[in-house]
Amino acid sequence: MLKAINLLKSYNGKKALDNISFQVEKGEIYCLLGQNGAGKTTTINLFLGFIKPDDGNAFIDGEEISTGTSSLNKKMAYIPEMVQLYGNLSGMENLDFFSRIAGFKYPQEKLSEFLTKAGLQEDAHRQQLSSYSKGMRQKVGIAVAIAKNADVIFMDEPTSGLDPKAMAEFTESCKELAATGKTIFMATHDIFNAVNVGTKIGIMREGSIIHEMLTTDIDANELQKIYLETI
Amino acid sequence: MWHIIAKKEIKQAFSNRVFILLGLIVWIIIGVSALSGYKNYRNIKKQQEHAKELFKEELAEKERDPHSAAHFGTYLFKPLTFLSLYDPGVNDYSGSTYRVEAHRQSQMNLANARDTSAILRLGELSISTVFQLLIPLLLIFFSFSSISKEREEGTLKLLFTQGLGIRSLIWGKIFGNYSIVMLISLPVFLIILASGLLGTESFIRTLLFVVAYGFYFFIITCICILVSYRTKTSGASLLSLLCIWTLLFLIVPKLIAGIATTTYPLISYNEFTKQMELDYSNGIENDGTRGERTQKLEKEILKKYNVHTVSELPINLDGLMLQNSEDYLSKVYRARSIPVEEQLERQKAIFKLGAFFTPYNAINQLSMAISGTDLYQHQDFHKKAGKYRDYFVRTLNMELAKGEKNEAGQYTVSTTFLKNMEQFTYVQPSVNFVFHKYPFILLSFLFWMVLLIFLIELSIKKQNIL
Repeated sequence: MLKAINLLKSYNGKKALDNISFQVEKGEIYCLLGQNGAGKTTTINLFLGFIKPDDGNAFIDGEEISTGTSSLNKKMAYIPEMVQLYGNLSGMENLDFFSRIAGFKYPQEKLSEFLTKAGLQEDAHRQQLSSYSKGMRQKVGIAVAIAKNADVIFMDEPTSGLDPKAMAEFTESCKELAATGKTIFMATHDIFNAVNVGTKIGIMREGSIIHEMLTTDIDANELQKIYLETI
Repeated sequence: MWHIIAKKEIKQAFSNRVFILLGLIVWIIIGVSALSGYKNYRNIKKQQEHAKELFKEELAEKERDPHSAAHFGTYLFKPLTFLSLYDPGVNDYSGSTYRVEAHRQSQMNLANARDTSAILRLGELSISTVFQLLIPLLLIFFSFSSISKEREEGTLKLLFTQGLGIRSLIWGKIFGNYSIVMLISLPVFLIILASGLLGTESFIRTLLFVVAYGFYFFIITCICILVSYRTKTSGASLLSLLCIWTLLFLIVPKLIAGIATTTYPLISYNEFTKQMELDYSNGIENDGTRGERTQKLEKEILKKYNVHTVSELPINLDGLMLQNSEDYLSKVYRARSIPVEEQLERQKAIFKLGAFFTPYNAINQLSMAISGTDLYQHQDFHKKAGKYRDYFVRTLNMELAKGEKNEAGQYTVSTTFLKNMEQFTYVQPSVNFVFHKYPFILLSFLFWMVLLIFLIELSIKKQNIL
C-alpha cells in the first residue's frame, strides 16, 4: 500500500532523508521511531505531498506521490500531533466541515456515528471543541479520517501528551481501523505504544532507517534496548 | 470548495465573543455618528428653509430703494443631499451658504480654499469616516489570523490533506471575511438604498454609494487575507497589517495632501481680496483706472442718448454706473479666480493620482462625489449662485436706472416687484458628473483589484504552503 524507494531530501545541504526505503502493506500499522530531527515528519510530509523528494520515489497504492493527483488525496488522511481544529465549533460541526472539504456531505446521524466509532462520547458531540481534552480532540481527528474513508492514515506523534486511558482508547481505535483494512503510518517517540499498536517498526537516525522489525519478533524491553543503542 | 470555507468563516465569526464585541463597538460608533449626522443634517435643513423664507419675506416687506434692496440682498443655500448625512465632505468646511449683496462677490469657495485641501485629509466623525477608516481596522482585527492561525495550529496541513487547494482556501477566506464585513454594514446600506427607492435621494447615487464601499471593503479584505497568507505567525500578520493601515490610511493620504498643497499652494483669502481691490481700482486688460472707466462710460451714455449733460438723460445714470461697476467686479473676480481654480485643479489631480497609492484616497474622493459633497459640486453650486447674484443685482440696478420715484421723491421698487423676483433653485449635477470628473478614481479601483488578484495568484504559485 505504501512504498518508499531510496528517498532523498536535503535542507540547506543537510540531509533530512538519506536514501530511505520501506514498504507497508494494507492493514499494517507501521511505527516510525526516532528522536526529534531524525526525519519522521519529513517522511510524512513527503507522502502527504507537502514537499518533494530530491531523489527517489514514494508510492501510495502504486501511484507515485510526485504526480500530485487528487485521487491520491482521497486515499489518505492525516492526524497531527495536536489536533486543534476549530475551538468555537462543536465536534460535530468540525467533522461536518472537514468531511465537506473532502467532498462528503453526511447527515447528522452519520456524523454522530463516526464520532462514536472514534470513541467520542455522545454527549460531547455537540459541545464546543474548546471544552475538549487533547484525547477527545484526537478522537475527532480519527473521526475525520474515518469519515473520509481513506485507505492510508498518517499520524504524526498522535499519542504525545495523552493520558494512559486516552492512549489506550487511541490504540484500540487504531487497531480497529487496521482490522478494517486501513493502513496506518505513525511517527512516534513512544516505544511502548509502538510495540503495543504497531505491526512493523522502523527506527530512524539522521534521515536513515537503521533498523526495521516486526512487533511479533520483539518485546518492549528489547525494542527499548535497540532504540537506545541506535540513537 | 471555497464556499465551504467562506461559510465556516462566517459561522466561526458569529460564535466568537471577541468578534461580537468588536462588531458592537463599531455599531455603537456608527449609531453615534449617524445620530449626530442626522441631527446636524436636520438642523441645517431646517435653518436653511427658515432663513430662505425669512429673507424672502423681509426683502419684500416694504418698498425699497433698488440699491438698498441690492445691499439688503439675500442668502442662497446649497441644498443638502440625503447622502451628505453619511458623507458631509467639504460642506462642513466650506459651508452651504452664499451671500448675495451689491458690490461684494461672495468668496465662499476661495475663502476656504486653504482649508479645503486639509478637508481632503481627514474629515469629522461621520459614517463615511467609520466606513473608510474604522471598518478596515475592524477587518484587520478579525481577519489577521485567518490563515496564519491555521498554519500555526496545524489545521492548514489537515485542510490540504482533506483535498483543499490553496486557491480555494484563499478565496474562501476572502469571501468569508468579506461577507462578514458586508453583513456588519448591511443595515446602513439598506437604509441608504431605501432612501433611493423612496425618492429622498437619487437611486443611482445610493446604489453607486453602496457599490463603491462594497468594492472598497473587498480590496481591504484581499489585503488582509494576502498578508495573513504570506506571514508565518499571527503576531507578524497583525503587526504587518497595522503597519499597512497606518501607512495607507494615515501617512500616505497626509503625504499626498502635503505634496499637493506645497507643490501647488493657494493664495490666502486676504491676499485674494487685496488683489481684487487693486485690480478693480487700477483696472485689468488696459481698461484704465476706476475713475477713467467711470468717465468713459458716462461719455458713452451721453453719446448714446445724444445729450450733453447728465441731467438731460431720460434715465438714472447711477443705476447704469452701479451695474457697470458690478460687471467690472465680476470680470475682475473671474480673472482672479481662474489661477486659483487652476491651482485647485492641479491639487485635485495629485489627489486623484493618490488613489493609485492608497485605496483610502480613492474611496474618500468617490464617496464625496457620489454624496454631492465634493469640491467640484461645491464649485458648481458657487458658480450657479454667482450667476444668480449677477441676475439679482443687475435686475435691481436696472430698476434704479429706470429712475422711478415714489411720492416722497425717492427711487423705489414695489413689494410686488421684489416678491416676484426670480428665486434661486439649485439643481445638483447628474450622476454622470461623477463619471465625468472622476474617471481616474474609478480606474484606480480597477487597478487595486487587478493588482491584488495578481499578487494573490503570484503568492499561490510561490508560497510554501507550510
